[in-house]
Amino acid sequence: MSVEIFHQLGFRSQWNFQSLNNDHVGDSVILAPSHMERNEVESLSERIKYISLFDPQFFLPNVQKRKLATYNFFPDIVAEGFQTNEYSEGYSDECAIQCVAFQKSNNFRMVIIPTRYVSGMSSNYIPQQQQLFVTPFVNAIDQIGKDRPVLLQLVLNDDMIKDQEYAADLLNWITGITVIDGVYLIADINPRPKQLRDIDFLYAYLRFINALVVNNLYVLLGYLNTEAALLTLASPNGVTIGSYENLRMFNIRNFDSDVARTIRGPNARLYVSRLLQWIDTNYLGAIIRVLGNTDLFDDNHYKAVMFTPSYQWHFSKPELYKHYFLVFSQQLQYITSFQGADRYHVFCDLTEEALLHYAHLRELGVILDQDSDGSHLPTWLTAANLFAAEQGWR
Amino acid sequence: MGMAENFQDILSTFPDAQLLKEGGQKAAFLISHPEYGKSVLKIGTYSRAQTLERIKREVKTLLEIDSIYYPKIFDFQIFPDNRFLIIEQYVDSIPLSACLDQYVDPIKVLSLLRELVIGLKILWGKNIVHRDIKPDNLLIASDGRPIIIDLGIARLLDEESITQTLALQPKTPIYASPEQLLNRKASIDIRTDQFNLGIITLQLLLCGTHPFDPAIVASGEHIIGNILEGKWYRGAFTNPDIKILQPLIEKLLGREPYMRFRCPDNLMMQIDECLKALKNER
Repeated sequence: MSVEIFHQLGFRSQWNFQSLNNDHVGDSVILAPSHMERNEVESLSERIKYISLFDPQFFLPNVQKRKLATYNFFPDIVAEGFQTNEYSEGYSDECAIQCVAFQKSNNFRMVIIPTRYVSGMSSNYIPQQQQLFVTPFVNAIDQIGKDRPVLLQLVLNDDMIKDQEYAADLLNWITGITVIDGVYLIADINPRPKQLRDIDFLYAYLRFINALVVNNLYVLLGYLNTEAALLTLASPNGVTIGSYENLRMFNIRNFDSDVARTIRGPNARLYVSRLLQWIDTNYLGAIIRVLGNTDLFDDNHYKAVMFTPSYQWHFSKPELYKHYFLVFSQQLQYITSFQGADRYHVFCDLTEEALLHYAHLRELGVILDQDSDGSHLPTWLTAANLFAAEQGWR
Repeated sequence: MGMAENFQDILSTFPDAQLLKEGGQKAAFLISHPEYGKSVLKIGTYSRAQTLERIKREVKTLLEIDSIYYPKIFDFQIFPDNRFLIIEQYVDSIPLSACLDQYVDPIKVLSLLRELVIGLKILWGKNIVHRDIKPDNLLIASDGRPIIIDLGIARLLDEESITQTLALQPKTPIYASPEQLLNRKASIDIRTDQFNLGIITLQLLLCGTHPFDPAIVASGEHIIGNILEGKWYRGAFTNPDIKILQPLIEKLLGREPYMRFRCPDNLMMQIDECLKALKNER
């Protein structure tokens, strides 16, 4: 079965809706209350709501954000100032009931049990998540009535996933929650490079995802960059595509209070599927110069707009992202049209072809910087090979 | 006399009481009850209020269970002096441990497993873990039906007299799961019972030999060490009949609960598929 593609919404969510409606990219959207006030969410069309998920974004339940405050079930609002003990004893049930009722009354596709962000490897992680969120939400679902699938959201850091015993405890806990139908999983990598290169993490994450899938749980992976291509080897049911980096790379700082931070505008980057990478647009002229009339760049109506002499490349231009949504979703659909060992071989072929392209460009004198080159791909291949060996695919 | 001395007042009402089993803080007698007929009288003492609460919960559950796979509880009484009694249905049966050799045929083994899962699903549906499934706790009635005994009351009492470290372990840990042996409390759930069932199933197929026994695994020093390391005998799968059962047994014996069956219905489905395949082969 091919993977479902979810738009990870946030800033400039209109680009995602335009991509969904006009280019027919993606199957669903994940609504983000930190960027959409309650009335804005409620006024979405019934059709959109029916295919959408609502992520309650309780990651930092004690943080005051203007838009989150429009939801009367956000912990800091319900408890009039979130304190863990007081919340678990007096407010968690009320919060859960209102949050579940909101998700049901808006007829979203599934109900999400939210999570709190926890750094490090707390020995109290499971009991706390259970007490603060899982138990109250399961009770609320029981009380209100379960009429649609329930996803448990989790933000897990790389140490949690790489540590075999910790990961096993997590898997035992998750798979033991009988009311859930799936997991909405977000990986928190800190510090986060533009492309993931930690082989141990990638391999462990593939195994973790696979363990959930084997347990017949629907697995949705959130805040993904192009590593989604690799992670499809573990057969998740859903992956996300997002525009700006903060929607492709989870960073808890983005959920901190509304206090403005100085953010330096990144270089504009174009996703090139044959390179499995976002290429700094500063290199495009050089690549075209050495390759001449090349089919390296994915062709579509956005390319036609972007590859005109008068186009001003800038990271805030919508074409870059709508192009990415279109191209990457097609690439994901192609990879996931294959199953098991065949999918692995297709992934390997794509990766090895990309490495050949990089080698060719280098021979021709185009020396890509480390955020545009293919240095992440050998690590992806290695993680894929380890996972494939375990699955008996190689 | 031991326990009997503390319960003379009760036992005097059952002059024909025959001691069946005695140990620690409990004893069991075969009695002729004027209302329930041939029954088992279980008597015991407890020292902690917490234990009493747990006993009450367990008995309440047992009273709710109306299944041919469990002995019925007729009566439960608590006395002010920390004593209690339970009157339970007597079932004409022998423990599985005494008739392992009668379950060698894979179809018969699988049919037994199927009935045990039907019975255990009643507990699992109430989110209760048996925690001590072993051949001694599985009685085979005269009609061949298995009866699951020792649902925790006995163990609750044993827990009072042993160290906290061992509290969650069954008395006979050679049927325990890795999470029980390691006392990983948070990981113990209904899938723990599946591991116990996996050992028993394979033991029956191996004509009574424990599948983690170092003598056949050719590794390790003792059964418990092999359970912890996930080393068990896979040689039986060279037999084509038993080979059919390999995916089922591999999953039951998953080292972690998440490697076993999340949903008991899926376990049942796989048992049925194996049974069908075995019958088709013949």
